[in-house]
Amino acid sequence: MISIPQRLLGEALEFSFRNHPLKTVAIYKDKEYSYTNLYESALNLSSYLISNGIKKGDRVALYMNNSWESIVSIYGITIAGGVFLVINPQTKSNKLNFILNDSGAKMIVTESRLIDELSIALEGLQEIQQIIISENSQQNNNSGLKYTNFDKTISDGNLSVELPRIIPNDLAALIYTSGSTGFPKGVMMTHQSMVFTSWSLIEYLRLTENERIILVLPLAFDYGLYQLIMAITIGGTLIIEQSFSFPPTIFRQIDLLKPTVFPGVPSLYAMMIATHRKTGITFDCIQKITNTAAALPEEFVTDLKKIFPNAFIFKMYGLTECKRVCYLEPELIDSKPNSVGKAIPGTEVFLLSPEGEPVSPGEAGILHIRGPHVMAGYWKNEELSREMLKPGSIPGERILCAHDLFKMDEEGFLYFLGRNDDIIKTRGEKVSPVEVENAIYKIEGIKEVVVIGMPEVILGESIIAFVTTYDHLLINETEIHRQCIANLEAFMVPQKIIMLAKMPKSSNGKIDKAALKKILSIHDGRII
Amino acid sequence: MENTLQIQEKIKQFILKTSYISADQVNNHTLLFQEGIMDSMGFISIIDFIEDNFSITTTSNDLLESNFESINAIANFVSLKISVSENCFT
Repeated sequence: MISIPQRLLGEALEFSFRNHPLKTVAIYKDKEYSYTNLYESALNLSSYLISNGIKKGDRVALYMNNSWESIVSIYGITIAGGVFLVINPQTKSNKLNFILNDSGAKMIVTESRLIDELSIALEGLQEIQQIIISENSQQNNNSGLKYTNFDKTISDGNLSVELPRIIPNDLAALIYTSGSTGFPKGVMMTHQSMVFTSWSLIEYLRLTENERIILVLPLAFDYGLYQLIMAITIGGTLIIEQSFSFPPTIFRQIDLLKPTVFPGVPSLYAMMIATHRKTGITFDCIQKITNTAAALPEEFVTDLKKIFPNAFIFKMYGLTECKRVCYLEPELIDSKPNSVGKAIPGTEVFLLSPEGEPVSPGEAGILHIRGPHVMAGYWKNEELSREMLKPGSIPGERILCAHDLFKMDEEGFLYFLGRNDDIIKTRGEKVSPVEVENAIYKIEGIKEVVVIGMPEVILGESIIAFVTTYDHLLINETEIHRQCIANLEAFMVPQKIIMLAKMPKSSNGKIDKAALKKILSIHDGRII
Repeated sequence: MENTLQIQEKIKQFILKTSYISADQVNNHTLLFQEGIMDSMGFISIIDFIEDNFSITTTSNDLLESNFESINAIANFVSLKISVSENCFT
């Protein structure tokens, strides 16, 4: 019999449930859940959402740590025809308020330990109708909002609820990413894009249904989200961890649960390499490790081969606006040491000069990406969308311009040369310098702040803040550091804060960033 | 040889210095990683610190949650390591 291919994100769960109803889909906090558990819970949640007013295209936000509840929610929302957005649980109230307001989310799924931060963020938001909280908690309800316990929403489904008709062009997710203006923007992804991308990744990563993927990256990060989507699509198993912050926990889980795929970022690998060098720790069960978000330094490869003696190493590059751009076949890791490979299956890339002309092999050019994986645009921001999506040669087609500089060799392999904007990439996350500057400006007595990224092997880039104050005695580095920790996500907190008597400026009054970098090299020779 | 209390104090001072938190936010039982006071980079810096300051070496068998979760846990781990290495020489 001919099998009809998957068209919608949620169908992957339905198909895998039919193929292996009793197989373990997820392991979370030492508990195993089957495909039947996930499918039924997601269906029940979707019928709850629909009976509580969620219609096709309505946004539903997730503000929680990686958990069983978060994966049920993602599939429940998508089956109900909703558009999910996953917000990093480290997000502080200011930014959270912006994202909830910008997306116009109608409901939020969260957990009790985040409710204080969320309550502050809810101020002034009109669209939110209901908050679903996982873990038992009695919420004082004096805001007029409806609070519901998560377990209630998945315990029984209303079979009479009719699921909406979704088509592949409908939006499936908004993925918020840092923008150079200091405000995050929502990347719009349709079902079609996400289904296409998940299959493209599965193809080149050579995944099979026997795969056990360990998730230590947040689901708010598209790299983390796709680990879930791929695991479900292949009918594999996802080992859900909340983070990598306490390495012994992860080491124990690997030892115990024997994952086969380990997706990481350079800062995480650096930490594992440091641990390996001290203690000789190795992980024999891992068959594939993947890296993206920041370039994998060439010198890491030798150590990674020792830590993961049985693993293929996949080097990849991407941006949220198309999820993934390219990957290097693992067999070429030694012969093409600095390359991030070629376009992912079913897509193409090319390099253009600033004037829009093709460049010759070996010459620097701006990366352009064509394929079904390219975003539909930024949510409610056509102006910014036009900056990234350019007209292609087919009338009406939109091609993604990555604004990153690359070169291509004679054989078509890509080499990353540099970024074309101010965004800092650190620990695999994008950081807007403006956002960090704004957080520091909130401290009274601050005169000027400039935040820059400096290349650094482990983090990709480290965040450096240069600060001048009106009264130098009143504010010190520690105080600024504390303020940053209180107001920013952990990965956005500067590694170094340098107090200056005067900000160096060029003759036209603009802050001289080259001079700041020079100050830094004198200040600390280690980083340069 | 330092006693466990002195070891605890040294580790506490190190945690305070590297995490930028104030002394009243952490006690010897605070779960450093669960509370977000330390992260994976901090984990490596703790290993570096105890190896440099107490002349011990850690092995892959030592990388257990129960050896690193709090100031108390780290101090106990260090004390045990010191006593084991001293016994080796006697």
